[in-house]
Amino acid sequence: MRFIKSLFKLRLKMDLAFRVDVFFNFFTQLVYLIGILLLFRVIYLNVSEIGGFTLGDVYVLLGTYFILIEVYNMTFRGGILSLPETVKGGNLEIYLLKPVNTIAFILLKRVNIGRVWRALPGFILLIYGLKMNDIHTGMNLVYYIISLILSLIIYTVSNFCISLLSFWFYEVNNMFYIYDDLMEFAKYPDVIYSGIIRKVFMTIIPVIIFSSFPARILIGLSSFQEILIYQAILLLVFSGISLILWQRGLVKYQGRG
Amino acid sequence: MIRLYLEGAKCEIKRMLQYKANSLFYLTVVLIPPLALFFLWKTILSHGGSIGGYNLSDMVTYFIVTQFFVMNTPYSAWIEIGESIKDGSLSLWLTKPVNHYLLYLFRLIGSWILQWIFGIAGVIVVSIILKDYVVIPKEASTYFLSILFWMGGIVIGFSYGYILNLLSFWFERSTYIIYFSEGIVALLSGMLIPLDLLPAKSLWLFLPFKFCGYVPAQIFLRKISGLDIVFEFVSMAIWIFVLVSLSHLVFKIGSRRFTASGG
Repeated sequence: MRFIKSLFKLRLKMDLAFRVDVFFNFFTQLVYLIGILLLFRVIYLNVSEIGGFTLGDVYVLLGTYFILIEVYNMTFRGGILSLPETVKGGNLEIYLLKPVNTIAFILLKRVNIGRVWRALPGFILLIYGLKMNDIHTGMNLVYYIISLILSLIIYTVSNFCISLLSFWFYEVNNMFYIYDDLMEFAKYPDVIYSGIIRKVFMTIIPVIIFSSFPARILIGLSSFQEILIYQAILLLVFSGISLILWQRGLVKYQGRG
Repeated sequence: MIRLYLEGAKCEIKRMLQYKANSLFYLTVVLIPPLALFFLWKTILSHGGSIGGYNLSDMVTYFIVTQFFVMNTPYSAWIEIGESIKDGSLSLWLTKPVNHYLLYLFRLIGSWILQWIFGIAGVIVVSIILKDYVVIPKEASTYFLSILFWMGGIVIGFSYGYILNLLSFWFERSTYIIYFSEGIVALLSGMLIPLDLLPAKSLWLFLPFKFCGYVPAQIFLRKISGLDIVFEFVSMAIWIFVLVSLSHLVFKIGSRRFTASGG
């Protein structure tokens, strides 16, 4: 714990050294958020709901999406993106030889807690959406947080699986960008997707569950039991896959020394 | 003289050919977002409805085409331009008998060509996937005009980014401003929503950024035709003239302030 705490402190100091960068990144994201809000404003001037989602519900969904992305970027993204370079450079021993859990160390080594405020627009949107629909969350808020955490972990583990492919392939960074692009599907209510796309994005690349499922719990569109069980199963599957890839990858790994 | 700039473009093409795989992966940028938006619009407009005169086919086609145009417009020009002002390497170009603006424009075109080719392949793929929902114009002139206007949009986007890069003559770092404004300009090009559906549309339709996505897409959809095309062309030519002139003016004023180390 003390180790993780000092890691957090170090990252915060590094972040403060590039304040302007962080500031403008934040505003760039804000512009994009305004754009997508405008899109839904125009849509809801013409329709009252999309597959059961009202405008307020969509704000809750988008708020959830932005919180998820920001929390992921702030916590695990940096560490996950750095793994392929570490494997390629044959520097993994640096982490393997340390008396800490290697996977946890890799995942947390670039935690950037100083960027927590970047999730603020997401929170504001979420609260605005709830107010708009006059939703009193009650216990659903607790289930929502659990579901959001599960989404975050599944998203992290699935990204980790991609980074583990670097044990076999020289270049995997483009796969992260494709996964980022696929997150576009997470911005819209899951009910709009059908056919094979829905099946794939609910299981193999479960992007449509990440924000829709927690939002569904909060706005009372689905029962929390079904959703949490589904997410728990997905988490188990992805964790299993990542552990197998990690173990096999280590066998295949060749260090520098 | 033009041969010199073409050589610059050729060098960039060769450089980019070393990174073919990266350009191939870029294909997903034009492939995935329109697919996601397709499902959204399909749910909303599947029962024969329309929004602001756009039916499902119009909307799907609009997003496929605009996504390609906007994602392939160099709004930030070359970040290298701003950085060369800061680190002093601009002096290398100042001593050469070349036009700095044109040289970078041609180099940029060279460096993006491969991406454009893969992008068009992406558009074809997504159009095949969504063939029942896509408007495919029959006239070659529609494609020609649409691409012609987008080319104008590229010059507009580049000039805008070029001017922002030149702010490095006055500010410590202009990179952040460039990235920030890139997002705004992409929105004002109609990437997320057709500009005529936005509130205060006359303002957005006055700005030059519509030529980077919205106008070429409207031509592709044949929502602009006849005399309107001539009017838009004249408007685009005026904007290009204004922005290019401004680029040269800012460069001239800024280079007076420029200092670099070395003999």
